[in-house]
Amino acid sequence: MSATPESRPAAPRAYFSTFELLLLGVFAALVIAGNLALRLPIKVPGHSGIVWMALLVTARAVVPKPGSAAAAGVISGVLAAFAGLGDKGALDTFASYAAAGLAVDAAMLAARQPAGALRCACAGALGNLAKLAVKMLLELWIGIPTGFVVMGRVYPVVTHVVCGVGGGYLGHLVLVALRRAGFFAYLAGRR
Amino acid sequence: MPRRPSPPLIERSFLRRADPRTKLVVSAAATAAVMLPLPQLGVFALGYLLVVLAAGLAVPVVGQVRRAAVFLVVVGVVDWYLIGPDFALLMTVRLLLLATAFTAVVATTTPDELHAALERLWVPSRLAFTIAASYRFIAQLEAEWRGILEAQQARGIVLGSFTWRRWRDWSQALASVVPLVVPAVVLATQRAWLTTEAAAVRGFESPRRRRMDHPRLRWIDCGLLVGTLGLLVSLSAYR
Repeated sequence: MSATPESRPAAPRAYFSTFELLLLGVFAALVIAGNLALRLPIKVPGHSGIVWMALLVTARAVVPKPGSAAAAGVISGVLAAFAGLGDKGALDTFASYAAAGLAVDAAMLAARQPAGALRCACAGALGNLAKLAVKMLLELWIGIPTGFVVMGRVYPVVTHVVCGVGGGYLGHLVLVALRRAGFFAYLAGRR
Repeated sequence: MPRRPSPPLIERSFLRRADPRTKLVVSAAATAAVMLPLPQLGVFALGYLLVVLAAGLAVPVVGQVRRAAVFLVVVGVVDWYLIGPDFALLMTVRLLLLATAFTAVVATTTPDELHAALERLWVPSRLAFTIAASYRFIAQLEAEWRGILEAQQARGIVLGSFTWRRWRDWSQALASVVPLVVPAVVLATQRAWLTTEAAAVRGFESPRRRRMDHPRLRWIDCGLLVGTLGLLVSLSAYR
């Protein structure tokens, strides 16, 4: 007996709705646009992570599902690689962006209150460190001696942690401001 | 006027006629080739250079090399000084290949072609659509963000006015970035909602939606795939 449209089993619900996926995509585009448009007057390695981590932390709270920051990270990685960003090629760019998203997601997953200031700051630090770790792993992969890589990255590790903490804390401040403005109530009506 | 985030499309390149999947495989092969020892790596890099020149990709490749120039010089000089010229040459060629490997994809593929290629590579169609749509948003979001920046500067919020040297400066500066980020997030959310509605109206979530047309692989694709993979495998096997 052929199945009528009414009796056909419903398609399995997607993990992210189309709106949520597009929201994460727009956050990914915001990460790229932020890197191009917002130049903070800080001349230290990893300073781009301030706005970047803030947006990833915000994306994770706006779409409160495990994997949302990772999805935003992967999408922003594809966008950044395709936009020709980064100085060491598309593979490095994609892996850095994706790793940052994955690390923020992992940190927020471990936290019980994702929007707490300390948790956001830790997630930001981990995300920014993951970005640097990818660069170090790629350098080790192509054969640069471990000693060179480690010696050359001591100062950047410190600045990435500081900027990551700043970015995560900025994400927390943004979430507080969005909550005060009634953004989450507006968003609930859209889902 | 917002600048285009990607390098300009090289319309006259013969790689424009190649399938994006082929270009992805060729670029991935070029990335994998960095693990070859120096003589074989040199042969592969020479072949890659010939393809780049024949495809008219010299300008984007030189642009990419210029961005990595400082890192390349530092690695080359330090390796030469501490280990030797052979090792310095090996590291420099590897870094050059790694930095430029995906230029063929970036400089000769449009977002629509990437969308079709991602669907063909079993990426879920909603995710492929999201990536293509988000790519188009970058220039608009950048322009919006610059507008927000100018509006907030008119209200006295200037990022450059902080020294970022003391803890107090950091907390003040971060608080001053919030009015720049919050409007951008709200505008981005509205954009996502409008796109969702537009996609739904066009039947995007319909179970009977047609997927994008996928062109079949042509002779140029077969030639590129066989040539690149054949060269990589033969160089890897050569001792």
